[in-house]
This record gives sequence, structure tokens and C-alpha cells, in this order.
Amino acid sequence: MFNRPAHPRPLNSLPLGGGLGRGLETSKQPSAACTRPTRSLAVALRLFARTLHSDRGSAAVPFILALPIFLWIVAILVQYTIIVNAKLLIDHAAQSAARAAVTSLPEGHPENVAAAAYLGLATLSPLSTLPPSVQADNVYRALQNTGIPAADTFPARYTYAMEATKVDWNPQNPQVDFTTSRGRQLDVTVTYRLCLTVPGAMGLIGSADTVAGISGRFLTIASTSRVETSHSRQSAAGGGGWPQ
Amino acid sequence: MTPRLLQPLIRLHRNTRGNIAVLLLLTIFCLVGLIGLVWNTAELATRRESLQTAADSSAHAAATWMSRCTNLVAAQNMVICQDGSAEVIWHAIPPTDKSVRTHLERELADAQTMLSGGDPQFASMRNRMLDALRRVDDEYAMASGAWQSVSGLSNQKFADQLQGDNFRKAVRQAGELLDWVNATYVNGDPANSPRRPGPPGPGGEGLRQLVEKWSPPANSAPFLQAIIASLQQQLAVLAEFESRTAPGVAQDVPGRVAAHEAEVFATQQEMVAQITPTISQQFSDQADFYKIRLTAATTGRGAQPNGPAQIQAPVAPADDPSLTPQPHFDSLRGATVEIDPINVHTDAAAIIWPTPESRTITIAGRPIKFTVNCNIPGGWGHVYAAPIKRYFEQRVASDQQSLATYMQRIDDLRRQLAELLRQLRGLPTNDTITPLPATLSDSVIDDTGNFPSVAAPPRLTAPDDASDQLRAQVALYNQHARAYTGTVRGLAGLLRSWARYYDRFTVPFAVATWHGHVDHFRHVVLKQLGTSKQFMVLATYRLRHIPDWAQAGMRTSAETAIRDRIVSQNIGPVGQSILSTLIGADPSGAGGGFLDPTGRNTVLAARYSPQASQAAFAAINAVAAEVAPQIAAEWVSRPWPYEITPPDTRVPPSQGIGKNDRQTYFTLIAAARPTAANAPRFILPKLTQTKAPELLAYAQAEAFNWMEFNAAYGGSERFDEVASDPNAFFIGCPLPWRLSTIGGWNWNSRLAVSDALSTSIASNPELETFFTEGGVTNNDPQSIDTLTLH
Repeated sequence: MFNRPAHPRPLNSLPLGGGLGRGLETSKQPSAACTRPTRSLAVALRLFARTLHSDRGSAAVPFILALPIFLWIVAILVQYTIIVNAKLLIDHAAQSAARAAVTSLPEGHPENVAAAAYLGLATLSPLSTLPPSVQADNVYRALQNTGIPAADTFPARYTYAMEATKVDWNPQNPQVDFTTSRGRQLDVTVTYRLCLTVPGAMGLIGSADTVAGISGRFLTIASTSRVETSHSRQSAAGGGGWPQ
Repeated sequence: MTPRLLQPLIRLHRNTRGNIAVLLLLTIFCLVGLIGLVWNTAELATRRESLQTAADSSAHAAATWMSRCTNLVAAQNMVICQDGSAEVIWHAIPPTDKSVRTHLERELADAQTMLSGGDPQFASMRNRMLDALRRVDDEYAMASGAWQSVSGLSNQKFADQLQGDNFRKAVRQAGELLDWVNATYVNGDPANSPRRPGPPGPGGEGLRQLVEKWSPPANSAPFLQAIIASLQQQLAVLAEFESRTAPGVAQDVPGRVAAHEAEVFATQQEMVAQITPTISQQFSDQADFYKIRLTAATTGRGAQPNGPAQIQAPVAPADDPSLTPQPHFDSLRGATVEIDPINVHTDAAAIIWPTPESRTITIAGRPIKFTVNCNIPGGWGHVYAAPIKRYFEQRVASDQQSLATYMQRIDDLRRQLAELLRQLRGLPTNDTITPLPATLSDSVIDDTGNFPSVAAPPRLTAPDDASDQLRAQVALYNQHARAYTGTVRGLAGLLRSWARYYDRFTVPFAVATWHGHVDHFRHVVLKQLGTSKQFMVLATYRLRHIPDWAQAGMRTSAETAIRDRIVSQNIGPVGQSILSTLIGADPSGAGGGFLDPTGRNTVLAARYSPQASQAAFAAINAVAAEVAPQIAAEWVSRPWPYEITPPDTRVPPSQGIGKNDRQTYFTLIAAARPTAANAPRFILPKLTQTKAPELLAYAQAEAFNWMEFNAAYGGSERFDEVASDPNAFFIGCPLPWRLSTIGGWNWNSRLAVSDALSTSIASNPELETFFTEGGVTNNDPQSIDTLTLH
């Protein structure tokens, strides 16, 4: 069954042209020197002729031609989806950082603002090849101590988040004279270097770089959240009359 | 041959239809997975933010209720103070009215009597001045004549050369000074030496010119008519005062005030009681709105076995059991006293120096005994109704101003009358006549190179071997010189009397009378308020000891204040006592004086005043230096009423409400967990191998008063210095203001860094459950602090 040709018509039935067919038919007793190549060529020609006359694989050809393009489109879709997902997480990180800014900046703890963003972006981050930072280790230990499940890779991811994230706010020094104002409007911007991972698609966007020891292509994504600061627990500048 | 069974497979293999469909299926599956990933992320982020919003708004809203309640309580405390102030004014009106009316009516009666019956003293004033001036001239002629006789006889030789020289020097000085008195003091000529003063009149006149310029008219009727008219105007103003105050005076203000204060206090308590259920209801409503579970928690208080903490406003009634009197061993009395946190160091617990400090000092060989008063009325540092005293005092000071305007108008009319009478009499605005000096500078330098002071004029003493004639002339001179200066002083006194002739009708007195009565009743009513304790205090208000770091400064400050007060309140009476003794001991005093009686006391007082003042200051200061440290030591050892816990370390940076007070009384934690209706809804959880994480959000909110940092409302008050109130009364702690001044209206709410989370979890079981469900199974404070970013 499997030896059965797809096209059972004999080779000579193929419209190959008289010359060739005739030549094959008229050379029934060739010399020993030339008889073997002549026979091989004939077989090859027969096979080629059979292929030309066969419609086997005619559907696979366009499929093979279209497959790379299709895979490329799929790769773009995957990469785009990953970027959208990252954008959502970065938006959320910006919200968290802004929430931290509301309470931490008046108290003189700007580090809390960035830390809120790092914590939110750790899950999005790849494993850094740098040694884990002290802060990453501290947060990891704190998570473990409080019973919050965290993977072993958390310090490496957190370290990447620290390296890849920039947190800014405007105005830089939101000190407020609270005798005349309740607070100050503040724009907190989180900028994250997303590591692109989908082959084929990542070449179209982003730029080559090395972040947290990882060389590859990265896309910079930013998100801004606007809040109003709380009142500080600390005194205004000058000590309000206290001895300095 | 192909087995029959394989035929369908062979057909399928040969069949190329649907190849793309398979790929599409795979692609769609991949796309659905990707969409699921994005959906899940979005769902998680949205739910988490929604939960955080719910926690934030709940915490903020609860803190806002706490702040609102505190503001309202502060405002109602102020209403109570205003009631008290009204009572002070009500009490002060009748005695003031009676006192001022009596004063004015007596003056009016006197003026009318003087107008109808004449004013003999006024009528004789001109003649008395002229007579006095004549006597001055006569006495000068006699004194001058006597001096010339003495001077003529002083050139003879005396056995003792030095005595003779001194006698001649004294004669010269007497001549010069007699000449100065006559020429400059009486007749207004320029001084005969640059080191001697000029004429005594305010415009450089001598007494003679003043008699001519200030010559009283014969008829006093215009003056008395002006006085009567002014007094009638003053009485009309008083009638306005009475008319305005009559409706209030007619009412039972103390009764109504007491009833209103009780009503306000009851309202305060009711309002405070309503805060807890109001916040609970609010939490419940917000939980329904967000379709979540909410709990409230506080640090170390308000915890319930099952359920949220009961959030309370940071206030308490002044009669709260936690504010019971505190025993204290009084080192000054050697006994234990009970210190009331509201009426601090009052009555039986007053800081009193137990024994009168009698001292004897010897001056000029004469022992002088005096007593130094080492106490102030009510005791050192005493204060009634301490939490509300500050605003009460301010309110009384403000309220009494409106009625004081009537008294001010009366006093202004009297000042206008004084000016009118002065103009009618032709007197200058400045009618000061310089007294005849007791001593004057000599015109010749002595052996030490200075110009010696010489009595004006000097009493002459004849040399031992002087002739009888010289002795008689010296005695005559001394007699006439004394008589002369006496008549000169008499004339100056007469001129002064004329300048002040109508002072009894013009001296302002009404405002002082009003303030005196207001002050008296302010103490009375404040004591009543303190005794009744019908007001609220901040929950942190307690009797506390002065912090260690502040004790040295407070001791120094209190000692200085006490010492200054002892000196200032005793320097007058003790100085006067010493001065009287010195004058009495002076050989030229009673019975043996050289000067006339009128001028003797003035001269001696002027002579001994510096000595008496120095002696009094030294004596009192010695007593104060001995007493003040002991009182200050007792002062520092006593507990004082602190509205907040004083900081453990020197300020700054721990200015304002401290961490413990803030977390315990002014802070709450709200935590939120999703319900089934509001949990994240993930798609394809099995495909994405994703388990929905347990969401949890929390927020810390606080009630705070931004005037903590305002120097005008307590931001500048020190813990290591005595604090003064508007009446210059001082106490050993910052004056309360957060619940009894307009600064107490400025409580607000804020979201804050969650530094009370760990302790709140430990003391609130429901919050602990929330956190356990949310994945926090171990409340490790340090780790919680590390993770508590907001």
C-alpha cells in the first residue's frame, strides 16, 4: 500500500516529448561504459516527470511559505500581549508608589515610594544575574517571616526591579506650609525597563541594552499617577519656635 | 493489500482539507491564553486598588469623625468658657456701677456745694501765693543779711586754722547757694554755675514768674460749672452703661449659665458617645458599598473579642476617673497633699512657703526688722480649671472690653475736663515744678579734684573759739536760712497745689474700677468652673512629672521667676520700712532738723532712698536666694498638668504629640478583604496555572492638629521653662490649648505611614484574622515594619 505510487500512470504515459521517449526506447542495448549513466538519468527524469505530473504536497508548499510569516505575527501578538500585561502592572506599581508618596514623603521617607514600586514589579521581572541587593534580601526575609509565600527567585527578581525601575515625582520637594494649605498635588512617575523575550518580535521594538546583568532588548514603559500629599507628622522648617 | 481497518486513516491522511483550521485553532487557543493573562492581571490590579481605596476612605472617614468630634468638643469648651466669661461680667457690673456712681455723685455734690457756697480755699489761693512770695522775699532779705554779718565776721583769725578755713569755705558756699536759690530758683535767672540746675518752672520760669503766670482768678464759678457739666456727662455715660446692662443684670445669669454649662457638657458627652456607633455604621455602609469586608483597629485599646475595635474620639470628661487627685509628698510642709489634675496646686495642695521670713538688718547702727512675704495669693503655680483657663482668661479679657468702653468714656471725659481746667487756669500741659534740691554742686573743686555736693543752703557751725557775736550771727543765719528755704518750698508747694487743685474731679478711675471687679470675679468664676469639672479634656491630659531632661532648665526658670516675684512684691514695703527707719534715725529728723518740716521729709527721703532701696534689695534678695531654690525644688518635684505626654528627649525633633499618644488615642487602622462577590475573577485559571491570590488592603489614619507647629498656639511652648498666661501668672508646664482655644478647632484627618500596624494586629483579633486570611500568618513587628510602605 505504502509502495503504491500516488500517481499510477506509467512514466512513459507522461507527455514527456517524443525525443526523449524515443531515445530511451531505441537504446535498448547500450554499451557497458555508457549504459549505466544513461539508465540513471532516465530514472531521474522519470521521477522528475512524475513529480511534475503529481499534485502531492501542493497544499504544503503555500503553508510552508506562510508559516514563518504566521509565526512572526503570532510572536508579535504574544510580545504585544506581554507588553500590555506589563503596562498594567506598571500602572499598578505607579498607583502603589503614589499611595506610598501620600504618606511617606511628608515624613521624609522617599525610599518608601520606590520600594512600593519595586514590590509591585518584582513579579514582572526576570531573574537578575547580579547578586541580590540587601534590600531585596530584607524584603524577601520579611515576606518569609510574616508567612507570605515568596519563591526562591524573589530576591533576583526584586533586584532586577530595583535596577530596571526609576521612580520620580514632581515637584521634587513637596514641602507645604500647612498653615495655608492642606497638601500639595504630586505626580509620581514609574519608568520600567521591560525585558523583551519573544524572538522575532523583540527585534522590531525596544533597544539593545544590559540591565541587571541581563543583555538583550528592552522596552521602556512609564506610568504616572497623581495624588495629593498628606500633612506631615514633623514640624515645619525652623522648628516653630523650639530651640535649635 | 491494505487492511480494511486502516482505510479511514488512510483517507484522513490523504485528505488535506482543514489543515489551516488546525493552525487557527492552535492560534486561537494561544490568543485566548494571552487574553486570559491580561485579564487576570487587570482583574488583580483593579480589585487590589479598589480594596485599597476602600481601606483608605474608611480610615480617613473614621479619622475625620474623630477630628470633627474633637473640634466640636473644643468649640463647646469655648462655649462653656464664654458662659463663664458672661458670668464674670454679670458679677462685675453691679459693684462697678455702684462704685462709679457713688464716686461721681459725691463729686457732683461737692462741686455744687462749692458753687453755691463758694470755695474759700480757691478764693484765697491768689492771696496765699502772693503772701508766700512776699515771705520768700522777706526771708531772703533776712537770711542774706544774716549771711553778710557772718561773712564779715568770718575773716577773723581762729585758733584752729583748718577749722577757720572750713568755716570760711562753708560761709562762701552758703552765700553762693543762697544766691542761687534767690536768683535762679525764685527769680528765674540762669544758674550761677554750669553744674547747678536752672529755674524750676516747666518753661524755665522761676517761682516768681510762675506766680505771675499761674495767678488764680478770683472767681471759681467757671471751673465748677465746667466740672458739674462734665460730671453730668459722666453720669449720663454711666446711665448708658446701666441701660445696656440692665436687661442682663435683671436676669439670673449664674443660674442660666450653670444650666447651660450643664447642657453643653451633656451634649459633649452625648456627642462623644455617638462617635463609636457612627463610625461603626459608616464602616458597615462602606463595606456594603464596596462589597467587601472591613474592620477597624486601634493600638492597645477598644479591642473586642470578636469584631472591630470601637473607635473613639480622643477626648474625655474632666471628671473622668482617670483624672483623680494624685498624692504627693510636699517637701516644704513635710506632709502629703492631694493634687487635683484639673485644679492644680490649689487650696490644700498649694505650694506655700510655710513660715513668714522675718529678718533684722542693722543700718546706721539701728536694727531694722521687716518681714519678707515669700508667697503669692493662692500659692506658687496654682491654677484652677487648668485645661480651659487659657481661653477663659482670653475670653474675659475680650468680653470686658466692650463694657470697658463706657468706663473709658468716663475717664476720657475726666481727662478732657482736666485739660479744660488747665486751659482755663492758663496752666501748661506740663506743669511740673522741679523741687528745691536738697544738695547742689559747689563751684570750687575740692582737694580730691571734684565738685563737692553742698546742702542747699548749708548749715553753718561756728568754730570752737568763735566770738559770741559770731555765734549769734551764725545762729541767726541758720534760722533765717531754714525759714527761707521753707518759704521757698512752701511757695513751690502752693503752685503745685494750684496745678492739682481740681485733680480730685479729673483723675481717671472708672476703667481701673471696672478691671478690679472683673479681676476679682474672674478668679471666683474660674474656681467654680474648676470645681464643677463640667467640660472635656484631651484624652491624653494627665498629671505628669516634668521630664528628666527638662528638670534642670525648669528648676532654673522657676527659681528665677520665684525670686523675681519675691523681690518685686517686697521691695516696696520693705524699702519703705527701711526708709522710714532711716529718716527717723537721722539727727536732723524729728526735733533736731535743720530744714523746715515741709521739706525735711522730702529731703531725707531723697537722701536715704538709694540707700534704703539698696538695703531692701540686698535683704530681700538674700531671703529670696534662700527660699526660691527650695520652692523651685518642690515645684520641679511636683506633677503638672500636661495636655500631651512630654517628650523623652529634648525638643526638637519630638515636637507635638508623641508617638505613643498618637498611636493610642489619635490613630486607627482600617483593613479590607474582598468578599466572594468582589474577589478577583480569573479566566482560565487551570490553563494559566494561576491561583487567585488573597487580597488584603490596610490604611492608617490619624486625627491631628496642624497648629502643633504654630508658635502662636503652643508650638513654641517649652517644657523646661515656666509658662506665663496673659495675667503674668506662671505655671510649670505648657499651657493646654488643643481643646480650649481657637487652635482646638483645627483638628483634621490624614492618611499616614502605617507605623501602628503591628501593635494593632496584636491587640485586635479581627484584624489579625484579616491578615491571616490575607497570607500574613506571623505578626513579626520588624518584618511588618519592613513591608509597611503605606
